[in-house]
Amino acid sequence: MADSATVEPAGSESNPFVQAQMRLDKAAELINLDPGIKRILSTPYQELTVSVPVKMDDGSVRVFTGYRVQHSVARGPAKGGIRYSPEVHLDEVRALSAWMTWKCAVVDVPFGGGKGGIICDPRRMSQGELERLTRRYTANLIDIIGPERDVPAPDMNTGEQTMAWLMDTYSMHTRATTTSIVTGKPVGMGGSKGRREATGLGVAFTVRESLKHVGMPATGCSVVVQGSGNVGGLGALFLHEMGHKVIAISDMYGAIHNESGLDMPAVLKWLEEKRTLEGFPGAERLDNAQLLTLDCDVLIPAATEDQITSRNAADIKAKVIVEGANGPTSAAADVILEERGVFVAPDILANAGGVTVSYFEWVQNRMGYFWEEQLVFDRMERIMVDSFKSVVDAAEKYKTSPRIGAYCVAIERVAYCLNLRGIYA
Amino acid sequence: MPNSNTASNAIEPQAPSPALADDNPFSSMMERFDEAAQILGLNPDLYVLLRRPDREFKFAIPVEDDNGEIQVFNGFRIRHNLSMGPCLGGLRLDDNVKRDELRALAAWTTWKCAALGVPFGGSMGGIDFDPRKHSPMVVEKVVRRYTAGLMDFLGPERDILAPDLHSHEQVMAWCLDTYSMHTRHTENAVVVGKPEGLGGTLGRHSAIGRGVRVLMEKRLADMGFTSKAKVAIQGAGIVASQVARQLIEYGHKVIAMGDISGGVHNADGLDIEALLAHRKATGCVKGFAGGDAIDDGQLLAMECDVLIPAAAANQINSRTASKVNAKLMVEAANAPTSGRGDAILQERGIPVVPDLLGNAGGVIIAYFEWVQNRMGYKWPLSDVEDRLDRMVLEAYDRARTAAGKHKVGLRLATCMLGVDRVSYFDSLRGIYG
Repeated sequence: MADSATVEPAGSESNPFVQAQMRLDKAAELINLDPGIKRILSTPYQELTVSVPVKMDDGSVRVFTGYRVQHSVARGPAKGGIRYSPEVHLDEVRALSAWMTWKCAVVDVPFGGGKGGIICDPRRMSQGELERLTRRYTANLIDIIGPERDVPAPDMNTGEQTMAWLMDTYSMHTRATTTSIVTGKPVGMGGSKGRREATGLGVAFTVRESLKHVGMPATGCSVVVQGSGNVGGLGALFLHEMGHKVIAISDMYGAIHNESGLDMPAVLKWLEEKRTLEGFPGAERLDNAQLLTLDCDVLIPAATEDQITSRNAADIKAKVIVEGANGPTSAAADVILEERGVFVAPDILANAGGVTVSYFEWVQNRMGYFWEEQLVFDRMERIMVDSFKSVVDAAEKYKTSPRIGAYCVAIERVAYCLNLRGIYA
Repeated sequence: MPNSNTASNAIEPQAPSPALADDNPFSSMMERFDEAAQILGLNPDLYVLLRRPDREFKFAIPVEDDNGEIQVFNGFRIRHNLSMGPCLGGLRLDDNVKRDELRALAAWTTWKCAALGVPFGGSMGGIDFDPRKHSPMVVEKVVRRYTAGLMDFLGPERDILAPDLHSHEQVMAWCLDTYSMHTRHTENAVVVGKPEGLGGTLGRHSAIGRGVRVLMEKRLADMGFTSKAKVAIQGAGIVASQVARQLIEYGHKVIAMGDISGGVHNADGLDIEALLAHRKATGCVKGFAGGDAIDDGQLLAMECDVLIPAAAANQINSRTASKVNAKLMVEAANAPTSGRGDAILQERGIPVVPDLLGNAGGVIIAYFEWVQNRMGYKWPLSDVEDRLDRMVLEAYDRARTAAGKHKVGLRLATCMLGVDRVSYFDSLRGIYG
């Protein structure tokens, strides 16, 4: 009767919460999840909507709407980003917070899932307005966030500066500098070494493990990467260093392609100087659609969601797909790829290097002692390798795809805690 | 003025969902607020601020039911405004609870408290849960988990729980106990509507009735009508029976009363205790032998001095308002008169004491309970009654003055009093952050 949010209009197919729910349903069936535990996992633990009044530079007051959703705190404090965008929607924030629960559980870091956002257009706001917005939003969340409760991180249109304001506001309210309230801080202000590289390196480790798993060579594979930021660009660089051949990579304007392999250090240097891949010598131009269907061994979608859909899934020639982005593959495409025998390392595993190093940042803040970069990478590598094994083992055990296998691992781990903890009151 | 400002705040997630648009309590409340804001010439920034709830909190309430199965309900708490002090708001147990309804009630409580001079803001809470469909054990678990889930927001200085639909004394006692266990000391000021021994106040069971009676007598006196009144009451529940008993105690006559099943009429005055005993025994007013049977339409059209709607919302509407045959109407229910109904009564020259004043006794007695809990000293009944009468009458006088000054009805004037006061405090306090 009250299984879902009955007081709100039911979602449609485009509703991200419903989509996430569908995958939960499938995995829950395979692991024979208790219906009561499933009801808990289908309902966010708590959702706070706040009015955020901000004095604008022209003296007027605008009232923004901010959200923070904590999907689960069964395994530890909620963890997840805060995004600033005109498109922020409560359903989306809910879906992303659930996503964080699963991701943290897959890599077995002691966090639950959270997500936040403010409906605003940061491109039309001054630094001062953004600072006041961030500070007031933080003050309004003060009752529910904290190093042991809910630890925000950067997301769309928020970054190191946003995290610094958030940390400062929280610290002023608690009367003590509390760096562990957020992750994604600058190094030197409590940030962890290796955070910038973390997701890309985690993707590279996942590629390595995937190739080993499907019996392909550990070097010399051809790799296509969509996206050239911290995930795609650095991921491609690490794969290049591991001895693979990156034959194509893209940015938001298009892709470059060279069948005999791109010199990745040179590509990233070019990109840093020119702000675009266009004109990189010795490579031909491709558009985004051509990029995805190139003949290659490994495809890494590391840009945005919904790139591999029912329209292009049949044309994809890669044998291994490693999802650097969140949600690059639609549910319909999943089915097509599985039929064709493509190995897909799912997002909640493949790009979890980022949240893993966020976890390390929190650990270092709590102890007040900082790790060398190599130690960060070594510990992250071990987590990625162990998590990969758990996921493929589960996929085998339940005779399902690695994606649903990952959900099975995650749900089992969260359900284990819920069962042991029981129900309060 | 207000319209020009909504454009700059185009993103309006609180906008009511279309399915509810027709009789949406939030939008009809907002219409009155808009009207009040316009006449007051409210500063556009404040207008935007007051239009929205300060915060809305929703959370999961997992409980094990009697079969050992886990069920998950949804808990809500909406906080409208904190500029005057802690929020006060009911807890509604209703599996059909609507977020818009909670928003509307939270905002109404803000205006009501401000108009009365009670130093509270408004909030409202609910659980999508019908206690009648569950064992007392499950109800207790749900209420306790709801309270635990709200620990970050509740408190005598932050947000105070009050009874509402299906949340009676026992529910309030569970809330108090759970809150106190979490804070490691007994904190009775966090809920109101408590049983007497647990910090409840004297006079609680007659407060609304008393407010209605005092205002009725005052308004009648202002109209030059000094003899005892003949009254028709719509409703026979908690509020209506309080009102009826209070009127009898002070020598007035209740000549008609009825609930959803039907009503009774007796020109010599009904024996209220006998009627209520009959209702308690049979579940309805229908069949009571102490008068002639009438239906709801006849009750509302009854020739009388005073008509008191004390049941549901939207009872005096475009169909019934033209038939009202009373010299005065005093609203004891929340929003018993629709917008159309209100206009018709105004045209016909029938004065109305609006709900914000009419049922003010409820908020005032909650405030008195909180005051007594904070100081740890209990007022004798006579103090409670004297202070309640004074607060109600002072608010009425202020509203009458405002109505005269702005040339508006008492309903709008009362709302304006509230909005004006809240906006004054908000502008003094400014914007933090």
